[in-house]
Amino acid sequence: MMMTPNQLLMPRRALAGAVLPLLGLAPLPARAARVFRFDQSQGRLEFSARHLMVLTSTGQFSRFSCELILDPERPETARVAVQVETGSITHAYPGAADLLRSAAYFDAERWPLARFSGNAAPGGRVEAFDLAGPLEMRGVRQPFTLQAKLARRRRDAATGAEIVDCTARGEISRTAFGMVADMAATGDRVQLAVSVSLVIG
Amino acid sequence: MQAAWSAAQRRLHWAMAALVLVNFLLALVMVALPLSALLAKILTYQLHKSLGLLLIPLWAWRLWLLGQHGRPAQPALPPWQQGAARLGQGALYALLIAVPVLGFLSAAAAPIGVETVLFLILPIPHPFPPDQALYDVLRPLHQGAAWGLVLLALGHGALAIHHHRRGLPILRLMWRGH
Repeated sequence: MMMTPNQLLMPRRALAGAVLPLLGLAPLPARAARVFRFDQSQGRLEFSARHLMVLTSTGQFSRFSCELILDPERPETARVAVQVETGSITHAYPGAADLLRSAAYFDAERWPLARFSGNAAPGGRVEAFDLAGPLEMRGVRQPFTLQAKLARRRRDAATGAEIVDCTARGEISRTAFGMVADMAATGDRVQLAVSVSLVIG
Repeated sequence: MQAAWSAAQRRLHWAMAALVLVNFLLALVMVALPLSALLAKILTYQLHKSLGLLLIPLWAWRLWLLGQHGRPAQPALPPWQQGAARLGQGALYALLIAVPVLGFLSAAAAPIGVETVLFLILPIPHPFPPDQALYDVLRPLHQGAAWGLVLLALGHGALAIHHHRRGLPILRLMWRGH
């Protein structure tokens, strides 16, 4: 028997209806996808790399913008578009930000922007879903996946707004984007992490 | 009071003196290295932290040996010189533990948040997360104490040589044990 797309969605909606209250996310009405736009003032975008396989250093991008289209009831329909100013790197170690902006790394002068646009991958759950799509950096496009999570709904003590904390993590191979400097000191895998508090009410 | 320093006391004295000197020079090198020499910079920082951490158990061992065996009788020195020597040695002992402890704490507070891994093998947990304000206090304290330790140790060595030239057996007692 053939099922319509709406019928296919029903079990997932029923599951969401059961799971959302447990997360403190009350089910929203159908077609409740919302557009969340945020930048460095509401969120944080970090990267971290391993050195000599045992040490980790972390830096941040201080200017980025993100548009997330998300229906917390149907994370499988989520979409995201992120734009990062590569020259906005900050790093706690003196001089490290300049090194990372240089041609050997992000080459921020030549490639001032990095972009990612992703769609939710099938099989996502409310509390954990993947966003997959191309990441463009230093003029190279590579497939990239962010593993996103929505935390419990909470009320911000200062503003009284209802908030859902969203985090997303992904890993890139820096050599795939042409960053081949200091391979003896710094590993190939670089972790990216986004965290933001989405105001939902 | 024993007649001479024990062999363990003498070895520890010289080993710690060498460690302090090497680690001080290492610190000057690691800070001066450019980030373009990233591998050398990371290695020297980790070696500096590892050698510094070694000083802590060696210091405790040395103090324990001093408690167990005591020290040989001081050669005939004017009372004020004996008092000054005791003061200087007390300051050396205090700085020998203060410098590595302050160094470890400033590594923990450093905003960069890089772990401390003893000889790149054994992770040493930091007692608190990175904290810029605390780092701004601890880092200069570590640096100032390290300069104080090295200058005091050099003065200590210079005085030992001075007494040796005057025929007093202070340096010989620590070098040969008799």
